[in-house]
Amino acid sequence: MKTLVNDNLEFYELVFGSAIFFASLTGFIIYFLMFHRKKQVLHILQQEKLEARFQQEITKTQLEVQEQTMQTIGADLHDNIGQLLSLTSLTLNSIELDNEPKARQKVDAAIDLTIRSIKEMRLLGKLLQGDQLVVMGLSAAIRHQVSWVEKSEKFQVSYAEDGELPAVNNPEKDLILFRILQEILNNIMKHAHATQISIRLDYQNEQLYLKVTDNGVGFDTADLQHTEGGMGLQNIRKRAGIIGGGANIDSAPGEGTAITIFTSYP
Amino acid sequence: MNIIFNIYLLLLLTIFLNGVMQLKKHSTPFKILIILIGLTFVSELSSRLLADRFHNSMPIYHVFSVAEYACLTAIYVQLLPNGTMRGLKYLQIPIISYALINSFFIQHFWNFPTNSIVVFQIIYLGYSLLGLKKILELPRQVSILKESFFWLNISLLMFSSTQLLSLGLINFGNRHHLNLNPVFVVSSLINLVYYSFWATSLYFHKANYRKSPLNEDFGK
Repeated sequence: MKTLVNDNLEFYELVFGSAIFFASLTGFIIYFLMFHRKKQVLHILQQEKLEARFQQEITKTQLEVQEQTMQTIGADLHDNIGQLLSLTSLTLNSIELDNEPKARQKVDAAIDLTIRSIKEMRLLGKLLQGDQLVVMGLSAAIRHQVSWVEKSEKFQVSYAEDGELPAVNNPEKDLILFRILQEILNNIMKHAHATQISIRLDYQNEQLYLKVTDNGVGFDTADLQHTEGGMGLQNIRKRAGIIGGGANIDSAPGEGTAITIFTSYP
Repeated sequence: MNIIFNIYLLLLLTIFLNGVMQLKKHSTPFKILIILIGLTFVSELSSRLLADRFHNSMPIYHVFSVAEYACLTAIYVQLLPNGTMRGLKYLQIPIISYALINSFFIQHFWNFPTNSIVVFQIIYLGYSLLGLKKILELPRQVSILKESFFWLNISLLMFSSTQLLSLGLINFGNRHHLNLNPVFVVSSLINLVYYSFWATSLYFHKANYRKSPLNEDFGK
């Protein structure tokens, strides 16, 4: 009789122990799923935030490229076409109809100046396409930028490509890379006192490398942490980071600067 | 024990009637769920009547276990992704054949169909795990506690695993001539929790389905 009671007690313990175990297990599963869902939601929100930041940066970059283009056009109109047209006007005004051979010479000069103005206008027309430059491909956009820098005749600019770029491009990455290049070139023109600029676009193992080197005054990278120039370089790094890449900045006083932007592509 | 059973019947009837009144506000799988609750109520009531009259209500369980399997499979076929769905559809034929063979030739109608029920419960465990996997794979910005499919899966996971355990305990208790009352009490309480979870599932389904009937978690 006592054994049966003991057996029954043990059995009750087993039953209620199992029930408690299963209840705890269910609770644990619910908790785990809730925790997992919370993590998933956080991840989604973070992704959305990153996506929004990326889109914001793309829009900002687009505006900057447009602004840069307008500045180029403005400078070109003032320094180049404006001068050519003023000269044309002066030449035409100075024509003396009594002196036919001299007048013919001046008309020829005016015609020549007008043709040059038209050529410059055509070049500007292409630049006016603004960020559409990038639609033509990164390579074509870089070539345009190079030809514009070369026009100042202050710099010897070389551009080379290594490795075949993929047929399918990534317009968003192209835009950001193009804007980074514009920023680097602006920095060189303003601060580097360089005479030679070399641009290189390499494509290897689905990685794109954009390397810009100059023979300017260079700088100590450690000194630039909090200066305006340092901010510019930080901006370059930030932008490269946005397209999932990075930037290597190599410089020393008197030894020029080499900046390499790398990112997976397309 | 009788009180728990009566509460259980009352709960089933309430969920069923509430479901029937709002049947149009549910998608097909959840309509099947309401029908299944109705079937459960009828089977539990008739099994009690049969037990009182003939002292054996086992034939009800033979029929009901197959009906329950068919209904739950129909529900999960519509709620799980297409690939899994096809597998579940084809699995029905051998499983039902096995249950019928068991009822006619192995554990005749006057015995409890443990052979079939154990297999069914293992299958339900699989369904619930597949359902929970689907939930984990489809992240949403909604609390998991407000998802109807979550409650359905959790209830099935809890019920099937405890059913298997209680069958084992009953078997063990019978062999050693032990008092099985605690097992029945715990089982009845689990039944109450199980159908309460179904009620929760139906409640959230109705609430969310009205907001976005195209949500793929609701089935067609």
